Amino acid sequence: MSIEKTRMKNGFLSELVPGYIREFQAYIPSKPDGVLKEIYNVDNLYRLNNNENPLGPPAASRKVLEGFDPEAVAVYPSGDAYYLRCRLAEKFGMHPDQFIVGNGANEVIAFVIKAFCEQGDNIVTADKTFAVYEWIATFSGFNAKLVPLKDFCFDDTAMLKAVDEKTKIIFICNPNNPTGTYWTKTRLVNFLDAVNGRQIVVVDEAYFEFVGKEDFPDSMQLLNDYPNLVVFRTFSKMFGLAGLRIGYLAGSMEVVDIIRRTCVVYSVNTLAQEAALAALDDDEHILKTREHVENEKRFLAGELKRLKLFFIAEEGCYIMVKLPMSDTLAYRKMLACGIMIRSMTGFRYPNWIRVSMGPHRAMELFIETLENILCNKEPVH
Amino acid sequence: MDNISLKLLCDSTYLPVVLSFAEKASQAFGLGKKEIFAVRLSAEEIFTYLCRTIQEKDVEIICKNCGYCIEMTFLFKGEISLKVFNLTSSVFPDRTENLDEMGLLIVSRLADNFKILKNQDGTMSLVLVKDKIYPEPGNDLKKICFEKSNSFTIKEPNNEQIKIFATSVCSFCDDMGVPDFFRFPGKLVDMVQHTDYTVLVAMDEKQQVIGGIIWHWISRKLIEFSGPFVFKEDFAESPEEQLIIGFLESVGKSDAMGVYSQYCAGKLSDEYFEVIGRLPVYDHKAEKTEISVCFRQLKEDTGAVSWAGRSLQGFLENIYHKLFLPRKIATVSDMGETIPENSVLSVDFFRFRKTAILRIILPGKDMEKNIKDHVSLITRESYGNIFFELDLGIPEHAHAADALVKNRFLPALLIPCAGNGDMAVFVRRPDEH
Repeated sequence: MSIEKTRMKNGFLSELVPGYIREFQAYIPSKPDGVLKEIYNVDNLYRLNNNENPLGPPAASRKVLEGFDPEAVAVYPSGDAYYLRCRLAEKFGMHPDQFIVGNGANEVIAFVIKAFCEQGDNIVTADKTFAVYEWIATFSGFNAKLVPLKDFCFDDTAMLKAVDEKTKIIFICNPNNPTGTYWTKTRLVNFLDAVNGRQIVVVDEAYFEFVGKEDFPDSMQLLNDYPNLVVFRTFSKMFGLAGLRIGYLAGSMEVVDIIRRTCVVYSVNTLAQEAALAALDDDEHILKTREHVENEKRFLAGELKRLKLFFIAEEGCYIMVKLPMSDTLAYRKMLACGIMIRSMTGFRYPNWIRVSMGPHRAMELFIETLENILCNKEPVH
Repeated sequence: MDNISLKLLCDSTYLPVVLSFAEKASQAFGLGKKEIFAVRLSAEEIFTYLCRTIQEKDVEIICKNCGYCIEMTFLFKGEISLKVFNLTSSVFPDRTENLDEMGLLIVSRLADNFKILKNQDGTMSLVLVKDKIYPEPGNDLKKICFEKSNSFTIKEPNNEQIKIFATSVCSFCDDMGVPDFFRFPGKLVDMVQHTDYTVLVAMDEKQQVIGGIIWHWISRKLIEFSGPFVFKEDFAESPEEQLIIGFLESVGKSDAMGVYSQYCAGKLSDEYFEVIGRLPVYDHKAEKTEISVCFRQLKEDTGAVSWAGRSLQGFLENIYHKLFLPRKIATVSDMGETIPENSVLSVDFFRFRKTAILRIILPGKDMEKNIKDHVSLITRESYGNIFFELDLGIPEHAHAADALVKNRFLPALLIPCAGNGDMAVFVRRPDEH
């Protein structure tokens, strides 16, 4: 067989794969708890890495989960989450067609990018924020223009400067994951005015329900005034339904009508839709979770001050801590003691870790382990 | 990157075409007369060898301009003897099959690098690399006197700034503390232009280069860096820390599992990196010093398997425990399976540091003797530092640990993710007098 034929037979992939996919590095998620426990030789594992709700789902969602009829899984779910969209419309005083429900908020990010970007276009976002906006743009062949944060916060002036004639979407994470900083309503409105409808502005409010500050904007209320605004919310964080993967976007009728053309219908399962529907009315769950997060943040902030560590405890259910050591080494040492934190080098924050507010016992163990590590005491494997 | 290629049948009647191609391509890519001659001669030897061994099959010759060197690849389908790739290979002209290999041996001495690769698609590549020649700034470099300045920024340098950075590194640091390429600033510029290397410098408000850091990929998963080198420190912010942060932010989202360095300069190495071991090295005067080897993972470690011979097991258990690396050590044993007779080793020489690094290309029954022969030759060339890198991700290589121990090599260091798996670095103890 000639070299050409051999190449054709075995090397066809390199010819087929677009350059931006060849160069893109897949994200490898952490292994399941059972596997991690085995490789790190621990009996218990506290996950403080994914900003999950330690209180779990609201009582009403639990009831749905417990009473779910297995026969129902033989039937396709509502393809466009009909009942959930109707309930969301009722809750926010909008039309059901102003909502799109996705398999987690990650899916709706992809819908928006697919709907508005074509070859040569770009998106603008921050360099140190939720990475999925950048990933989806990049592996879809679009340029992600990353603007450095200023004082740990999205830099509105620099973002406006980064916008060019090829910019289609601006992504703002409010409050920002991982720093917890946020734009006030005034700042967001000023930004939207400056954009003046030339780009789609996405405000990702995945941690909206955790914020109690009066000047924090509820972007849903701005949708009437800014038809280029798209708002993301999720059931994974406050509502404790991360394992079911369900989130949604809201926007003006005309914008959502465009986005809907890129949606994969039937991607959200029946159980997720029903559990989310039940979760929406449980305000008590929000209050309880907020109280838990506040208490644990207070505890952690006190302990981190005692350890003389610099940290950022802003909004959201997490704290960022600067360590005087490699964060990835801290990750390994912590895991060897049954604590899983998020190392932040991959967020372009070397030597920082992000810690979610888990059960109180986990927070105590986290501090105990961290103190041992910093004092060069051998953590107990 | 420029590529020129030629496809033809392995038939000696085409030899003049091959010679002309090699010569003209080398000339077009900027090699000097002496280097062009070496490439021409190498091409002749390789093509003649292929005409004798794979006979009448297609060969594709690809000449690639890498900026600071040219890379000539002979791509073909068929099996050839690899034994000749040992540095210690010798041939006896009374035997015809040895005459075949004599040519390749000549090539290995003429080229700056000559290697064989078995490609995933079943083809093989014989690759020869010939470096361009660059001038050295000389040995009388004076330390730059900096003007007073108050602030700095971290940025990617232009070509002139790269050269200033390189010469400053050589004037501020001793030979053993810097990689050889800093001695050739023009070469460094071409390496950066070719995107093999990336540099960040710290520039003050008077446009003086007051420090820098450089890095490049050494395997699919590992980046090697040198620095940060800082020549002026009296600023409110630490240039050293800002260079490290700039570097880590640049590579933090890449596919690399980690970064590593034998030239990690500065006081902050403990804060940003893990010191994974110390390598004993001997300088030109045969004086012993120790180099701290720094490492840092960029991603969260999710475990791996390390293949090891029994003689390495204790070392690995100890070091994995110390580094908190979750690894399963899988020991290998000889169960009578067929192993190739002849092993093949590669050697990289670092002239200024008197250092040679050995690696396995092909394991074989004669491993112990082959290592002994290589050590003997390298020692004769007055190289005082001999290291052996063993890839623990390749089970077939694991047996070599025993042969290494018998040749006075001791495991000194473990570099996570440096090969297919982690890399054990062995140091050869000097012979007792």
